[in-house]
Parts: sequence; structure tokens; C-alpha cells
Amino acid sequence: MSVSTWRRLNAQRDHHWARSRIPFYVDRELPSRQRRRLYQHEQLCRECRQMIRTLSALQTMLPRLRPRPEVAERTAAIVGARIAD
Amino acid sequence: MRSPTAEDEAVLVERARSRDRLAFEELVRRHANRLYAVVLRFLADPADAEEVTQETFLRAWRGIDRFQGRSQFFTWLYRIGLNEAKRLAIRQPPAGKVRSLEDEPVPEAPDWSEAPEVRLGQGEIRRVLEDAIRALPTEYRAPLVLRDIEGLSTKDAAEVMELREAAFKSRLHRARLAVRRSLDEYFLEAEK
Repeated sequence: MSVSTWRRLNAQRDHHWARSRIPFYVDRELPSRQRRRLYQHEQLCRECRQMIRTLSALQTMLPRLRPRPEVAERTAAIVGARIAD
Repeated sequence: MRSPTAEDEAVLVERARSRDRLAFEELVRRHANRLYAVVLRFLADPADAEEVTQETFLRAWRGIDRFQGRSQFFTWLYRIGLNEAKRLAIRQPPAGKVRSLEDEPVPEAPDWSEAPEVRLGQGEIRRVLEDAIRALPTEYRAPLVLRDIEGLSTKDAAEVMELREAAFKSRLHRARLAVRRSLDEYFLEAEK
């Protein structure tokens, strides 16, 4: 096997591995050794880098969608009346 | 007034198990807003969401003897609420088009992670996000709502859905990719 073929196969395997770990990486749930490995891959792979950046941006946006309803007192009154029956 | 602690809650739950209605009402006060917020993600009508929230607490009251304390009270409660919401949602026509999950990236999509509207998270971007979440199939919407919007831990959210963490994580990731795809399409269109 030529060096270039070996490198290409190695890069493909690394990319496949990285794709499977990105969900844990974005959530900071990877062990440190894997985190370092994925970080190194991120520096070399545009596709993974963009996926990580956009998923991380999504993580900052989604909590802002959380509504702040005020139904607690009304619900407590209604449920309280029903369970008292 | 001091904030409620896990110990306070354990005391309330124990009293509620002894049929102390006031203790249960306090549990309702503590959890109703967040439960309603979760339920609302699965039902188009806020009035339906309120009704399901109330029904969830009534079911919890009737079944509180069955709550063993092996999980946290709120994960048990959310599980009941989610099942109630899904039951009603099945009977209702979907509010919008539910898209099948595609997790491949959109070709030529720009890297929008630093776009100003993303940083602000308001206006049109918010609408795109809300539409994308509504378009998710229920079993993929739930992980995203519980974990990424409501802020439950992976462990707690997986417990609510009665999934192993690996299975939960897989669904969550696919949901995130589907929502990301909507943003890819939005920014690609904006470039034209």
C-alpha cells in the first residue's frame, strides 16, 4: 500500500470516527483523550469543523426559546379543587 | 424566601404520598410552569396544553403511591405529561408539515455560526427555529425540547423518555442535525 493510500484511508477512518463523536464533543461529554483527538481532526477537516461550529451555535440559541409561562397558581387552584372533591 | 431544595421536595412528596393535598398543591406550583412549557411543544393550542398539564397532575395524584422515589419526582411527572401530550397530539392533525429526518448537510451551506442574527437569536431566526422544531417527528422533538430547550441533563431527559442514554443521545443528535439543516437552507437562501 502506498503512503498516500494509507494516509487517505487513515483520514477517512478518522473522519468516520470524528463524525460519531461530535454529539458528545459538542456536549463536553468526551473523555479528554478523545477530545484532543477530535480537536486535532477539527483543525484539518472543514466539514467537521463547520458541523461543530454550527451545532455549538445551535446550542446557544435553543435555550433562548424557552418560554416563561405563568400557569402555576391557576393550575394549583384547579388541581387542588379537583383532588378535594 | 429561601429557594426550594431537593430535601424540601422529598418531604413534600412524602407528605403527598400520605394524601396531604396541600403538599401536593405546592408540588403543582413548583412544577406547573415548566411542565406546561414542555407539553406546549407538542400541542398547537395553549388551552389544550393547560388541560393536559392539569390532567398530568391529577394522574400523578391518583398514582402517587406508585412513585417509589427511584427517580426524581419531576422526571416521573414529565414522563406522565409527555405521554399525555403525545396521546392528545396523535388525535389532532399536525399543525404543520412533519418532515422526515435528513441528517446529511446541505451542500454548499455557509458557516452561519457567527452570523449576527444567530448571536442575537431574535426575529426571523427564531421563527425558523420554532418551525423546524415543530416539524420534527414527536419522538425526535422530545429529546431536543427536554435537553436543549428545557435544560434537563442527558440522564434525566433519557429517564423521562424511558430510553437508555445512548439511544436518547442518538435521537437528540438527529434532531439537532435536522434543525441545523433548516438553518443551512435558510442561510443558503439568504445568500442568493
